[in-house]
Amino acid sequence: MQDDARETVRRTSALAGLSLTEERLAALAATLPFVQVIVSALAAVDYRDADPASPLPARPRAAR
Amino acid sequence: MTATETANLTIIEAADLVRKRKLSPIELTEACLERIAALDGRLRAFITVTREDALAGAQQAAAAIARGNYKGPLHGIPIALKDLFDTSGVRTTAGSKVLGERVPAADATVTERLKAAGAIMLGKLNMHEFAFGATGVNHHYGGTHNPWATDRMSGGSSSGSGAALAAGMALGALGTDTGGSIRIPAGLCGLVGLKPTYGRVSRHGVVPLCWSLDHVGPLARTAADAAIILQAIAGHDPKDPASANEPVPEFSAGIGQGVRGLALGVPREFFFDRLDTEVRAAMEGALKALEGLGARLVPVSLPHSRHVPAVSFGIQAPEAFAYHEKTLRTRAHEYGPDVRTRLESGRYFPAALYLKAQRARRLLMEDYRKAFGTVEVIVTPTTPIAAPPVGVSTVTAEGRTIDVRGALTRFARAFNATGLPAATVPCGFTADGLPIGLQVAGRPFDEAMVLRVAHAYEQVAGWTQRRPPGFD
Repeated sequence: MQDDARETVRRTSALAGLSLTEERLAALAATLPFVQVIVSALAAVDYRDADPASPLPARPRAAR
Repeated sequence: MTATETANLTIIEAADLVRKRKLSPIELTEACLERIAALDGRLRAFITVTREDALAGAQQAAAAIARGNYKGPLHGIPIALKDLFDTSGVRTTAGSKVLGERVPAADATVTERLKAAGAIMLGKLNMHEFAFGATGVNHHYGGTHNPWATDRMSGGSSSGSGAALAAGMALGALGTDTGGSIRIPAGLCGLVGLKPTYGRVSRHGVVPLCWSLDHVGPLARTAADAAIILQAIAGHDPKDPASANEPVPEFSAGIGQGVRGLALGVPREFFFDRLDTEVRAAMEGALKALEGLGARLVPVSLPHSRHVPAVSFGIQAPEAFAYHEKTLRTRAHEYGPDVRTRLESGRYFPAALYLKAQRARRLLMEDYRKAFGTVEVIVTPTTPIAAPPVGVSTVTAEGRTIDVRGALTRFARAFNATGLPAATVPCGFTADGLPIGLQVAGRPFDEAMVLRVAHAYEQVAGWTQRRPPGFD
């Protein structure tokens, strides 16, 4: 996981034209789990009511 | 009156004396400057003290008032500004070395408006670097300490605003609030802090943190004082694209009408989870007191509240990074390590994540729109904990270890995401003598109602009359 995070940071930074030192790679890789928490939290949101004008068909609502 | 008594007056009290010429703006300003000289070494509330400008301004105010040109309740009143607000000819650092030598050529709109109202500018207040943090740590100018216990955090990011006011070094202050940065230091320092509705107060000339969440507002000793400062700074400004062209009411006019018959919403979800025991007890006492004043407590449902942290961070990190990207490429080493990493992490938030956060934000707004169909205000704790010790990163509440930064911002952030007005007012003290805050949030552009409820509570509770031991 640690290696994956470093690799993700290295590749994303390279896309922005940046070459990071080992120290910065480590510091920023350590922030990725936090980004992942936000990704997971926002993936869990039911967005059906977020945009009434959405062109996407509404999913049937699950029974509560 | 001693300098301590003078500098600890409320704006209302001082303005009354100034208007009647029983207190000179010079005496008032000198009292604050004396307090700053004596106390700021311990608190680090100021980055820049504009002593000569303040005394010159006080002399001008005294002369104008003597000629019968009294401008109103801020005339001759010493105020201090978070160092994020541009001040013509006075350096504005944003709490950073990156802008350490920056001297703006013009005032921010709010600076200009306070000066036009006759306020005396004491200087520029310490803050979390670029307003990106809630603890008041600052790697360049030193961390701010809480006057109620100097080994405790003042809260941030408007850390100096909270500490200076609580210690009697100014009679009012301005702060900014992107995720609680007015309400957190006000709450931890036993003050009133008001984040107005998004668009109510101009941000022109204010160094941004996050365009869609940034707000400007007052910190004050009482709700009535906050109303006076808000009156001076509120109103449309074409120089801020987000400024709302809404009518500005007289915020003090109905402040004394009480809460009898008002419906106060108490959230069923999120806002009463993982509270420190003493905060919970203070909240229960505050709700009982408001009920005793004739308000009705109405449970309200805000089902999307659990998404607030993800929405806030999902928006704030990429927006902040977008603003700082160019500087980070060339001067990254000049940022403090905490803020640098926080800003740079914004590069790794995918665009889709930002958009999801914005969509989830709409769901939050809808929750509040429904709730405000049945209640006039919503009341919550300001923070789940009182001021934590300086230097700690975790605290315990209800047997669980929680992250300090997340805890301090947890209940404040919803009102940045929704843009709704929200204030904190002191609602008690821990056994260790640390202040606890009650948050009152209102409908869009209804700051008057928020202040009315805060004022009614203040009158019965009396907490705002306390001053920090050793600074009183």
